[in-house]
Amino acid sequence: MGRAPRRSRLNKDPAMNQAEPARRSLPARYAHRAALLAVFGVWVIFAWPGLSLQFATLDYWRQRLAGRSLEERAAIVDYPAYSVARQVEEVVPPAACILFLAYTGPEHVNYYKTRFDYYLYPRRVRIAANTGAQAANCGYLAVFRDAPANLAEEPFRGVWDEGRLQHRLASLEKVYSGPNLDIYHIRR
Amino acid sequence: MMICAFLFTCVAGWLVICPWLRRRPALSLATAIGLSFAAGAAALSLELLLLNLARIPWTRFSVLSPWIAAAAAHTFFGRRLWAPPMPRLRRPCLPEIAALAFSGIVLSAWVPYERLLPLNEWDAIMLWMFKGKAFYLDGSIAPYMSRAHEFLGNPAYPLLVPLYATFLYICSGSAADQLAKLLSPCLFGSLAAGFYYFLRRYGSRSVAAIFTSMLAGLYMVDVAAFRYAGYADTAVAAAILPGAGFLYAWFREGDYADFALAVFFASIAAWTKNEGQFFLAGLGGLAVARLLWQRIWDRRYWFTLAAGPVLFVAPWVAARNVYGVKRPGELSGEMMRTNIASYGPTVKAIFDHAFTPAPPDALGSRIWLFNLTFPLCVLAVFLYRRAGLDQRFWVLPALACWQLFGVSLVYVTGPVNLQWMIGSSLDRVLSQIAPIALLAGALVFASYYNAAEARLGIPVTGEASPRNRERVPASSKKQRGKSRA
Repeated sequence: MGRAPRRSRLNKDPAMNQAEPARRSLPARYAHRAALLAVFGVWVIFAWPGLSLQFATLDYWRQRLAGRSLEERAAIVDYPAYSVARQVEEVVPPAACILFLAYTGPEHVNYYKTRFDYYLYPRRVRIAANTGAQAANCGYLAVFRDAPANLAEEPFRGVWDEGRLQHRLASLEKVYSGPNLDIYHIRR
Repeated sequence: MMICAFLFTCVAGWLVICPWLRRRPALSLATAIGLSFAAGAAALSLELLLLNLARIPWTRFSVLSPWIAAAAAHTFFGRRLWAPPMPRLRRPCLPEIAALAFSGIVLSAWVPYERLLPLNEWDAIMLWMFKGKAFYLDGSIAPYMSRAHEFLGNPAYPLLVPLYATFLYICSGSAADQLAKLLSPCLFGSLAAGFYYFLRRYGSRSVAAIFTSMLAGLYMVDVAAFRYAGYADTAVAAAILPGAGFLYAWFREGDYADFALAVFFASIAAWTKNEGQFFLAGLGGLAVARLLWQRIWDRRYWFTLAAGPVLFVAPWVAARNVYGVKRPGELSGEMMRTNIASYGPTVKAIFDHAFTPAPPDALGSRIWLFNLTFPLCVLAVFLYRRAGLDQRFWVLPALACWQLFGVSLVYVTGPVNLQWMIGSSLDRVLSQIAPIALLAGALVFASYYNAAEARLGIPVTGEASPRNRERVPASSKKQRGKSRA
């Protein structure tokens, strides 16, 4: 005769457990349900700070954006990239190339590069924080000055010679002028 | 029109997976819709790539007509075999009401936020939705790829999310990114549906509802789905979770349909993001190990194991070669040495992010990005035997560990600064793994709960249906026969 299976093995089969006589006390019989609710309760307690932070964030954005059109919301959230891109879109044709001379911080150059690429596609976008920057075959030149708040966050660290810039722009045709942006058409 | 496109995605996904999914135990209409959405997004994006490689222009007609024809063929010749399960309304029990209430609170914090904010986050614009918009405006992949060197971003990433966004734009007739970024919340729904499905299959309604609401309340998973709407992280999570879950089901029951679904969803993950390719490799390794260990030489298994990856990965590899796409940045020897030297701190950073709360904010409150998910998974590893599960349970923790190992490997071999990479992406990458870790913990709890309910004489699992009781042994008998042959 072989050895009887160990009790722990028997317990692995739920069907065997079913045969166990239900002589346990009421709390013991329903302990699993209490455990489920306890796990859930602990989870909710741990989740609550994140949820309350999110409610606060939602409230903040509701105050700023609720009741506005999608265009207005984008202009607020992505200031000033969205409104600048919309102005460029109106002036520069889709097949053209535009060179931005950007008075902005170095990290912001990358930021505006991605934004302008996205908003202005299929236009070719070049951007540099340098008044002497050149781009071959670019029919448009934009002088973009970042918002003061962004410059306070990350100061300009490029090359910016106002006299040289004015000299460069003198021969170009100005096609748009706005608060953050001037656009010039390079005549060939 | 965009809403119709989302509904169409579910139909297309169901047409693809219904041969395997239809007879799965415990499948409900909601879970079928959720899983179908992830499958449909993958199938439609792949279709766009194939059409593009075949030089067929993308129009509503060219994109939708194959699916309409397939649906018509199923309707007329399929003898209603593709009909999804019908909903059965029941009165919810107390835990289900609690779970619904908590999920409602979570969604009321996140859904209005996602709808209020325009597309704004960095990766969504730079990596994913930009490609979708460019492909739509060009009517092809080629022009963007030929100009990829002009843009910041990685043109070598797989294209599920961008091409699915393109599909939505084609359907709506404009590059409406505010509507297209709904794809992330929809995939979050898909993730939750998949999670609920596996728990319902192996557990009671109460456990399934409670743990699904716990998943919905995971802060970082919500951030990935709603704040980072338009990223690919939720899409990867929505493919990885069913891949792992169906692999576990196959290990547990040995049914071919589970195996096929596991390979299918893992292939979708590979078509979504690089982490998904690593997951596919891990899942493939486990599947091969089991096939060899059990000496299963049935050609269906081996064919499926090869076909899934070939179908979803090969077209993109071909397209990358056709368009000459290269990965940006090269790993210099010095950077590699620096990164390898910091492997220990990288692993420590991963564990810190997974097991401890984020540093206190300005108000002094500390947020648990993953709640107790990873500690629960570790606890499950110690308790699974006591809960009545056997060593096949290890599939889930093993896949979670494999993904964590993959994260550390990617960081160490990546061509950018390690600290920057950890700071910018680690939490998002962990949010892809967290659902598997939580599923492992939840299944152990479900097993313990089932045993306790069984002692009270209450049948609980989706496995317990008479239809299933007949079918499972029959298929395993057949499989055993084939194994011997």
